[in-house]
Amino acid sequence: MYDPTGTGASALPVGEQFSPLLAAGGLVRGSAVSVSGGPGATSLALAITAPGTRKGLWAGAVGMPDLGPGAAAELGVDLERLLLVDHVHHKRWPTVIATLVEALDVVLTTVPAKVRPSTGRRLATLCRRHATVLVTVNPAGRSLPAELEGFVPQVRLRVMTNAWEGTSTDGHGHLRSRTMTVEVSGRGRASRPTLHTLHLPERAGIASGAPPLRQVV
Amino acid sequence: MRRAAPNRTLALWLGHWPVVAAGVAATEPAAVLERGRIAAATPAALSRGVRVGQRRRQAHSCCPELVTLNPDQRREQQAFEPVLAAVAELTPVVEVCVAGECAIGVRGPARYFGGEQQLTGMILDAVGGVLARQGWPAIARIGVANGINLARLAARHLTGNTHPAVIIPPGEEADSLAQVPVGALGDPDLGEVLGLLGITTLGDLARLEHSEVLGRFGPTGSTAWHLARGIDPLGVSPSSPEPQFRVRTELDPPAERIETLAFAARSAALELTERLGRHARTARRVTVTAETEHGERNERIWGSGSGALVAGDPTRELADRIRWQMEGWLDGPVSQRPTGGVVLLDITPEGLGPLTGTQLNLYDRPSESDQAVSGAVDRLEGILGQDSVRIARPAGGRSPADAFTRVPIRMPSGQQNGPRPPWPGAVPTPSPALVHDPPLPLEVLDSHGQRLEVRARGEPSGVPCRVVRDRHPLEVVSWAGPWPADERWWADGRRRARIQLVLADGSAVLATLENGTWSAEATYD
Repeated sequence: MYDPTGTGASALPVGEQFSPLLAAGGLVRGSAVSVSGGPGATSLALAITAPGTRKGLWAGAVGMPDLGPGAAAELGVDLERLLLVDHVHHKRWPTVIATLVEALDVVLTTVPAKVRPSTGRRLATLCRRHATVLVTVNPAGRSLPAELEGFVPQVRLRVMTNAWEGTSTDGHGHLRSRTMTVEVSGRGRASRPTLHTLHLPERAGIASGAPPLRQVV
Repeated sequence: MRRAAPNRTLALWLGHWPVVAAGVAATEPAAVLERGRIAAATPAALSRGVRVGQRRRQAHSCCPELVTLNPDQRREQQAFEPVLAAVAELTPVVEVCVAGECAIGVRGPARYFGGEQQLTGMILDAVGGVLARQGWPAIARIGVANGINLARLAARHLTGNTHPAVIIPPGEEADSLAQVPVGALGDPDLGEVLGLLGITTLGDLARLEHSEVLGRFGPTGSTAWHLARGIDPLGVSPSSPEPQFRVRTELDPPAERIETLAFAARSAALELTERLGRHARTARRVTVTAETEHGERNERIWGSGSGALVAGDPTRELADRIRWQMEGWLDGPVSQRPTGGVVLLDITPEGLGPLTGTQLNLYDRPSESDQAVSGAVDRLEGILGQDSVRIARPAGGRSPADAFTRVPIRMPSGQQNGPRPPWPGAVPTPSPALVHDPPLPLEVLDSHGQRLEVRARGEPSGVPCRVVRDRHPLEVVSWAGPWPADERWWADGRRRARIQLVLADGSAVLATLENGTWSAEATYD
């Protein structure tokens, strides 16, 4: 059985902009990451998942029917490597997540309101066994649990502030880029929360690390 | 005899290897399925009309008694070991691309055996012997060319039953391979777009200018163009070993059991992956050498032609390969077996490149991770219903909801992989991270508290000051637009106007006015 957890755990790449935020430099395989806070959570979750998909890893998004593929692609996600399971009844959610955790490298998901801690513990075991990263996302406008009881996140990313630039008071221009501050907390070396400023998307309109071919799209 | 180029390579290809490895007799109609399509078939199945690439149903309709099997990487590699052992008798260093395919450097062995013809003949005989013992016809094919990828193309596309080996004179690779279809390069998307542009063979591709190909297709296209022009610098002998990434493991006491070796292999593979990862590098090939206390050596190069070593989980795939190599050595022909325990395991990567996205794959086998995903999709479709697992593909349209469409994952990627044409009147990028379909209710009010309107010429009736969402009012901090869109005016017509609004809580929304009513089409989350 492949068991990468421990001091020698391998981590999934997250790209230049986000690597400094994470103690391991990437998403630790077998761990949970929670992304929540204010507006910007979805983009942040997509941006840290993107580099893995370009490296040939498989990702999935569960219970996120509003996920915008255009934004995902611009943030560098390889859409051919992102499975979308949009509508899942909360009773089926544990089985769906378990099935995906066994096969994918990263699973993004919203967390339904009524998930038992025992389910969280079971998923934690499965993730460790299959070296999968579980990213729980709370998109703007939906008040859902930010994390799974029973599966404590290795890293918590909370969007604290969010400032768009490009628009004006008379209608000229268009949304161009955004500056957000993210509080990073979690286990281990990251136990003391730190604040980071990020640009997402960056000023050129495309997050760092996206392959040049995508600009044509 | 003129000195051969250092990249002169001999590629051996055993067609339909997955089915041979499964131990099925050639006279039985059977095939191996991958992702719902035929990947390999026995001669009996082929004679009844089964073809590689067919869907299961198609294959069953021309051959109802067809037995279908699942692929098994481990079984295929283990069955390939005797063939590798036969080749290794003639030359110590063999590069394995995937089970059923391998390559050797030609220079030394050809000199030793008196020429490339002789070397080719000896390999065909040796491999033929191994296959004959299994009851299989001679399916070995050999291509010799200046470059491993060119040699593999030659083995697959220039040989046949009557001429199982083709030796391309140095420098004539471009001419010899000119008729090979672009699909042979292993990149279906590239092949598709090239096909639409009227470029169907490598010869067609070679006639283009490099700058055009590079500009249009990037590094993938550039590699393909070079191959079409007969330029392939890669040979089998390590061209650029990277000593600082090498992982050497000393085993004390000497390891005689495969489990001990497998454990050492896993740790070493993990160490290598981490070292490469820390420098954001990927290796094209890895040379794995094991040495015993009596000085016996077993060396093999694990590569994948021109692509990066593996997709999916590199550590596990590498650890598996090292294990198979050791199993093949310890359980192989007695004459080659080690007499002592292994004391040294050396893994050296070479051909390092940056961690970029897809690279050309000359073989079209999905990795084990692809197969695992396929299995998961099957299970989910059983639980949630058919077409419940989707993937987003570019469609066409101005609105965020139309720009992409979600299609069932089993649908093959079709025409939509070229760059999207610009849609006049579309809202500029960046695209919103959340697209609401159907749009969410929203009210947009001007400074007088009246609903904002957009006049015929696309001018707003005032300045958007406030929105009401879920009965909560929110101030508008800044905005942009409107972008009027007059779609399908020749038919039923949809006249819409869109504006971007940044609200006091930091969120940004794309609001759309249609038929006098506003709604939130998307949120820039």
